[in-house]
Amino acid sequence: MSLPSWVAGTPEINSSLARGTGRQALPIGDGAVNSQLAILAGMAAYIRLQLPNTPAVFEQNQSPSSIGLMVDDAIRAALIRYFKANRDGLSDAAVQRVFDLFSTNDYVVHPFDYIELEHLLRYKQSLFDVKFRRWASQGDNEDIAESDITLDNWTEFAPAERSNYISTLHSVDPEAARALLLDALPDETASVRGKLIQAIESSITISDKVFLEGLLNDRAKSIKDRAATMLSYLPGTEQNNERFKEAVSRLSLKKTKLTRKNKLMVEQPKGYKNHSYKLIDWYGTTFGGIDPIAVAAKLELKPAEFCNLIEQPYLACQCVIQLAKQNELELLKPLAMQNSDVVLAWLFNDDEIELYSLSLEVKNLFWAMATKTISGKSVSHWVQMLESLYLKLNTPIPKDISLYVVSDKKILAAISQSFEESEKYDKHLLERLVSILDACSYPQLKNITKDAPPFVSTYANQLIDLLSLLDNQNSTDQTNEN
Amino acid sequence: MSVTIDRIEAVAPDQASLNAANKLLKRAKWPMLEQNADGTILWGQCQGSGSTPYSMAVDVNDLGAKCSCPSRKFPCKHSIALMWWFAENAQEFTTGETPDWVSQWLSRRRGSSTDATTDANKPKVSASNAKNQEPVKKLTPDEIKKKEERAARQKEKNREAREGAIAQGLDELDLWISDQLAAGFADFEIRAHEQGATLVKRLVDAKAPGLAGRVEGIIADYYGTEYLERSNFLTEQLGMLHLLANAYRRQSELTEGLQADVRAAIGWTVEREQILSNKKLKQVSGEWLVTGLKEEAQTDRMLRIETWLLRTDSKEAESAVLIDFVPLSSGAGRSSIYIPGQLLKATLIYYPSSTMMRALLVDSKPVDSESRGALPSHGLSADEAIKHFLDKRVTNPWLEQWPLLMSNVSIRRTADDQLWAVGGKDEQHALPVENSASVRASVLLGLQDLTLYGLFNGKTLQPMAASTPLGAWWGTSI
Repeated sequence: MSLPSWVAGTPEINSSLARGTGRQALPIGDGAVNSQLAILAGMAAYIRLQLPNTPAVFEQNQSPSSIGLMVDDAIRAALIRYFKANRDGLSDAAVQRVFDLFSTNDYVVHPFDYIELEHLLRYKQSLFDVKFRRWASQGDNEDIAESDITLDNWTEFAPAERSNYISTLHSVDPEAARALLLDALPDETASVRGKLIQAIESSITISDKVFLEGLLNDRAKSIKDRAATMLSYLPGTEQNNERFKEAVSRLSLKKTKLTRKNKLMVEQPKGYKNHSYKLIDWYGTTFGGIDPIAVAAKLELKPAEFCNLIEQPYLACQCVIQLAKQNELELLKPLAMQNSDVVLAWLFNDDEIELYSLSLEVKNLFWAMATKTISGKSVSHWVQMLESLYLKLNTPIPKDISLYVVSDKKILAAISQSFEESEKYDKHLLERLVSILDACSYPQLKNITKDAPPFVSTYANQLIDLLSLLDNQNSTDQTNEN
Repeated sequence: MSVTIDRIEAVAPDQASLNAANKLLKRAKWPMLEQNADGTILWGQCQGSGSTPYSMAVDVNDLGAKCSCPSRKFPCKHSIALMWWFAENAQEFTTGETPDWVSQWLSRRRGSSTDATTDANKPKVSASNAKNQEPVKKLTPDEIKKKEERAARQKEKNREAREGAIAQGLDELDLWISDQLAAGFADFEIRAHEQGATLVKRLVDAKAPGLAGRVEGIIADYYGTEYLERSNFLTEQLGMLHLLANAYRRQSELTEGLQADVRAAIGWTVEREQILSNKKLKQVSGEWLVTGLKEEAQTDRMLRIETWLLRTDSKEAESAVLIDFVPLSSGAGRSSIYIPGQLLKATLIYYPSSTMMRALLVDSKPVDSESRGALPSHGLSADEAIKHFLDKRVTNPWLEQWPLLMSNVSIRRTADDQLWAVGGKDEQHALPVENSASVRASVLLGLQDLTLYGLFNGKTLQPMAASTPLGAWWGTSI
């Protein structure tokens, strides 16, 4: 059956409907109200069966596949359960622990879970691939190319993403990173140049010396200064020698009156109060990155002798970090153990320090130092310091220490206290411990949660379940490789 | 069926309620934690700030809850806490005989539990006076019969009066539409609000709340319609209103199903019991997948919650929607008790309609609370699905939306940032994705050979679920 043409509306009908049939009668029908209503209903029924027009052209889209493997359904469910439910009490350590296991397994967040986990972007931008970040910005970065950032297209990305890229590239292929920077820097503003150079600061080695020396001729003073500072941390450079001389000039040996033993004296700037941030900064600027073994030689002391003479806590902290970086385990161990409290507190208060690249032996030594004693400390505060150390080391507490922690009476008592509903106790204590302990402690932690009220056990169990799934996957992968 | 934190989160009205419930999880606050013999019903008492503890009960099957506290949130923090206790420490619950107030509450609920007693002569007991039950005088069979006859007569009288009022309301409606035609659509904006509000009041007075809601909706949507589309919008909407009025006047000429559609559109409701007891209605037992949830705040300050189901053990793409209403003032957010991807073994009974979709749950139990289901693979091609929709709309011109299960489609984007569900050879069949669903659906861009389940309203598609090369995708937050 063919439809009358008026149902689709003619210019005359449309004009009459717009102006009003009182002013311009419909060109069809007898003009009676019922006739007008019937025409309207006929047109409505016609419109009701019209479909939207198909566009002639669609944009080309790439699939949301990623640089890593997507997690399986069990991990996805556990991930969303934990991070969605636990939004309020989420700790940085828990986020880092989970996503470190992601990195170890070469996993990426499943694209379908982006919307559920969007809030995690503020914690760990780098954990998500560029598509997720672009998706989360919901069109704010429309100029970003569809593909992932690469050597060929990196200049098209925003400065923050380029800094991330350069930082990652420099840690795996410093030469390629330097080549990109040399090519790009001349065309950038001082501010962007500064950000890109800062991106390699934590991973510079002696191979960056020529590149950094080239920056000493930069047109901006801020860049020259930054390059000089970075050079001063590279052994053998003119800038490092100057800092070394300055550091040594601040140290002297004095014989004690009675025993005639050596005492190491530090000439601190005048007017700086003890334990002030200014003083702590001064120790960092003066002694940070200075080789303690070379200092000992300059003072005509054996390295162990020099370390043994260090009494000033902030000098000890700087030497501990430098010896750790130099992997000098024998010198490091006594110095770190002797100054465990102050080093731990100093690390807790300094967010700038990165200890990711230390050897596993040194990291384990740091854990032994941090867990040497908890007497006299609030367990909750102590766990907070351990979390901070975990964030810097990026390695969980080793097995033996983990087992010791979960059987320590003082810690167990603090966990039991947290089962009481009171502002005095930290209800996330158990969960926070889960995030930093080795997987071998999970059975014991699970056992502890059996006696815990739901406000403690729910999130702790969810985290244990999630970490166990990721950890099993990690172990399975390692077994398969072997 | 186990009570899990996931399920509790799904029924909690908001995060604040969960936090508040979490704070109640202290054993000393709970003088009573009990369950029935098979663990399907829980009840308990929680000590609040007053001297009398609040009493609450939870039906484990669907996490329906009842509490004596005055909270306007549903479920309240006490009920959530009771569920939480059970999820985490079921061993704390002792087994007891279901109290009367719990049984009576259960008997009034949908899909009442096997524990529910339906003895009409039993005195009614509320949660708040659970401890102070008074015996009520029993009626003789004769007295009951007389009472029922009186009620039936009164009901018929009310029905006749309402039919008369509706007839007047329909005339008012036609008059209003013809006024709009005479005055012209170009000026509709100027008079829509005031004149529309007057008409809405008259239709409410005429006991045609469905019609009143439609007029309100048209006026609200008119302002949200693009300027160039407004004339077409009014032609369609006012024309369909007139068609509805005429169809109501000529009900006897309509099929039984369409009669039901027209009466429902005007505002007649069918009691749940009438549906359950009508043996002629279509009843389907099978395995159903919860494909998605849709919530809409209505102009009558109620939140309409649609739970969409797709049968997975049949070759027919059989769908159903469960519709619930909760007051907006209850602060309910995600109020459905179901989670997308959940599988149910259920018997559904469909409301009468020419295009049956709304249904009631007769009984249900989850297939496996741990694993989530996936869309069946037997979707229609995009053109077949669109034809199917048009057929349904020809059958029922007032049909607002219809679920489509389409295979071999992809999500594409046009230069104006509009997403489309595209299928067919040379991509000649494309349905625009509803704007509100675009953010979630954007992760499907570029994936090929999707099986997509979505609600199509003739203009836009709201994707609800998809089977993709990357696994199952759900359009509703889990």
